[in-house]
Amino acid sequence: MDDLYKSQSDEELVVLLLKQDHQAFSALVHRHTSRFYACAYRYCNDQDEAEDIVQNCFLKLWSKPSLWKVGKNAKFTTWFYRIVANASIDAVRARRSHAGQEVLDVQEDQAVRADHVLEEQDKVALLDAAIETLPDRQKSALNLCFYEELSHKEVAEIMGVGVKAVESLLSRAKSALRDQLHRMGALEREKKGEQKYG
Amino acid sequence: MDDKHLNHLLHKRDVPEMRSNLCERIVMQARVMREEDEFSLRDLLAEFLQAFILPRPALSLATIVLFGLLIGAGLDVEGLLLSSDYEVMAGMSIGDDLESEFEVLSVR
Repeated sequence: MDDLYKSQSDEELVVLLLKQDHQAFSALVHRHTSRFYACAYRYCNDQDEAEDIVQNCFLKLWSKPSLWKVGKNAKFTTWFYRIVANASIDAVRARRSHAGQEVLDVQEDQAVRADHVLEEQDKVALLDAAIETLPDRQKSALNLCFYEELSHKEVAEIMGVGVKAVESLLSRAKSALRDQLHRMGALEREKKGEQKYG
Repeated sequence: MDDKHLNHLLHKRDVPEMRSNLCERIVMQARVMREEDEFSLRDLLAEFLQAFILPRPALSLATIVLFGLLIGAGLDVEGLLLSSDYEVMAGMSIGDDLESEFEVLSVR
């Protein structure tokens, strides 16, 4: 790829997209796909789906570069995080509505596997299930602050809320996760007790 | 479970590596999209031009010539000025002007 494109900022590359510059698009894709894939994956926990989400978001940008308002959107990554996060939330919602009760059943199954001791890996699996149950906004706050390591200010901008609201969402998310894990762990212990004395 | 332990667990959640060809896939797909767009524009133009294509050019041309002759024959040509007539008139007026100028000069 041309070094000229590599040296340009994200915002300059997006402006070039308005002129249908394919190399600028390629530079953006190579620069950011990995990070946005990780972000999408944190929402949907599915590699194929996460890849599709990122691909669709980039293609949407390619087909409608005017979505980027020159001078209005401060930072490309902040703006694109919002697009990816929204697309991921939509994809998960669509999947949930298709799957119906199945997701919940799987989560219950994960919680009550009695023959397992709560090893670290199991806890992580339970954590995955617990994160799935978080409300979308709490999940977004957790993913963007904790995993993407964005500042609270940036997350606030992405989510369209205030910084205080982000802090509150993050705190509630963590608290909910602790409760969920506690509950799931208790179920696990209960089950083990039943086996022992039953 | 304290905050530290929860953070530790949260960090344990892995993201599997994306497929190595994902970037290329996206870039290629964008190229295909553009070609499709260009192709559809070309299609539209071709379809538009097709509306002007004459099914039998020789017959169409002959019909147009015939119509032209009929219209020409039906017109009242007496009231019309031919280009040659116009040239004559123009020459006359220029000639008149020159003549008067010549007269003025000769009087002086």
